[in-house]
Amino acid sequence: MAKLMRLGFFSLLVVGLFAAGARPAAAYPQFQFSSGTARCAQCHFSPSGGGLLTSWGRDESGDSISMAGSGAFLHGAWSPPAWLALGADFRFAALTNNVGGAESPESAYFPMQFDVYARAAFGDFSLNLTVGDRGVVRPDDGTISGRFKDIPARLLSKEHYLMWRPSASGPYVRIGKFFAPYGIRFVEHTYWVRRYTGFNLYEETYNLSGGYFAEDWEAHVTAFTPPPSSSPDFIRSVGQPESGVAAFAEKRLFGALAVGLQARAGIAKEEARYQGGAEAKYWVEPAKLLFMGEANIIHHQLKLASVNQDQFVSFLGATLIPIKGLMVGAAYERFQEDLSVAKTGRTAFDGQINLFPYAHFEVVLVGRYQIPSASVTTGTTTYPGTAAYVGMLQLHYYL
Amino acid sequence: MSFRCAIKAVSLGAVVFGLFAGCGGSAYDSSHAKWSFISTAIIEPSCATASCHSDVAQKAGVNLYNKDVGYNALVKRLFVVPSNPQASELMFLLRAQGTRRMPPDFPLPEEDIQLIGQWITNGAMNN
Repeated sequence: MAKLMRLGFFSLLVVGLFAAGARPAAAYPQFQFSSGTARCAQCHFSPSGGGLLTSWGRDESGDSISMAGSGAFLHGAWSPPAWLALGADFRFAALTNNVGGAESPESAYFPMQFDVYARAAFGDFSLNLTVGDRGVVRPDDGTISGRFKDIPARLLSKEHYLMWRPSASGPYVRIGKFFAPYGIRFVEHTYWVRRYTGFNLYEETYNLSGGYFAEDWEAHVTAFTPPPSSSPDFIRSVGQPESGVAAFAEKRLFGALAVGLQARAGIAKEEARYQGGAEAKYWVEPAKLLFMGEANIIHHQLKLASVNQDQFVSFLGATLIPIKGLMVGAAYERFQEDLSVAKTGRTAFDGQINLFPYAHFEVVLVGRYQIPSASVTTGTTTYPGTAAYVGMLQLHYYL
Repeated sequence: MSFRCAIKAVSLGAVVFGLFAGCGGSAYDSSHAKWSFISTAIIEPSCATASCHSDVAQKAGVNLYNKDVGYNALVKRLFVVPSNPQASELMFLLRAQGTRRMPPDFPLPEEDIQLIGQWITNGAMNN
């Protein structure tokens, strides 16, 4: 407990030092500067971005992000009362995946995302709920229908929290289940800066979180713990059952540059993870080009094995927005599983095209090429590293 | 900011975010060839993910979410034959030899696979 308190103090110190200037992370961080919107939490109710859109976000989705249309709920056919906000995300995906072996390349199509959002506001307080389906790419029976059946049994609540937030700027506090603000919150859970930092798919934790939004900075501190393992699947999470503290702060400069620092300490029975890093975004308005980068160092203590390892995970990408409604992106990723052990690193290159032809609709094309470490020779046998690629088409509709 | 400044900033970013790709110097040693390391450092982050072998999903009835549960899943169900990596289905799956690859989204580094093979050769104990 004393160690946790020290870590919490350290995290607060990091944030405090940086809060002399700081801002957050969103599901579509590409829109941070390109849409003219300064803060991710302007478009999303969640302070860490993602999920249910605010009325500002719905306006932006029609006015500056999509080629045409209105982003209003139900396309404007009906508006909920002011105290209530509703929304939903549906994604259908088709992919081809090649990792070598007897069944590669494999092809599949499946319901990737089905999330329904609701927010009820009472004065300065709000209750926020996200319920969705856990997508399945490879059902046990291997059939297409297997990807669609049993959806009710796969329902889960990714987020549910109570938030006190009296205004768009200033302090806020929230308690419940959600992702703590940390680094760049990409929508793509496959990015290693999400996967290996404790923010992989369905790894939301129960948190007590607070922070502050200013015009050109923001800071957040979160104490987290996993749902009890005895919980019903509806509220369970996956990932390591770590408890600890996470902190994130971001500063915006010149209306085009954002620089952030993040730290997280998570302690579980079998292991502990102490990590920190930085992220940055830089929007080059004349070229309509956004650069984004994130890097983290992770000190991983494996208590049962009495072994420690240091890891490095990074993302560096660029997104071109040549015309309204179109984004073309490329990225480089690196994950070093153990910095002291040779040939345990991996590299990935990503390409992505997002098309927003009409408000509420998105078509996403994703390509990912992953390069393994060098080959390894044992005795007379050489095992070459196997490259892997995945191509994916997503059809996305948000209500 | 000028375009030249942008290039400088991006170059700096490339160094900081992209090219700090540490290339470790040594190989795994005997202290790593035990299940408590392999389970926590390799198997859980690679296999016990959302819709695969997590405690919630348990794809194909295989649960790898922690050390003891994962050990039972692999050894008691004969994916691992102690002292015999050549007969262990797990090794065929990791190398996609005559079967599909596990994990299905990215091959493990061969160094990791060889470490798992070494652990099996050493008797595949729950150590």
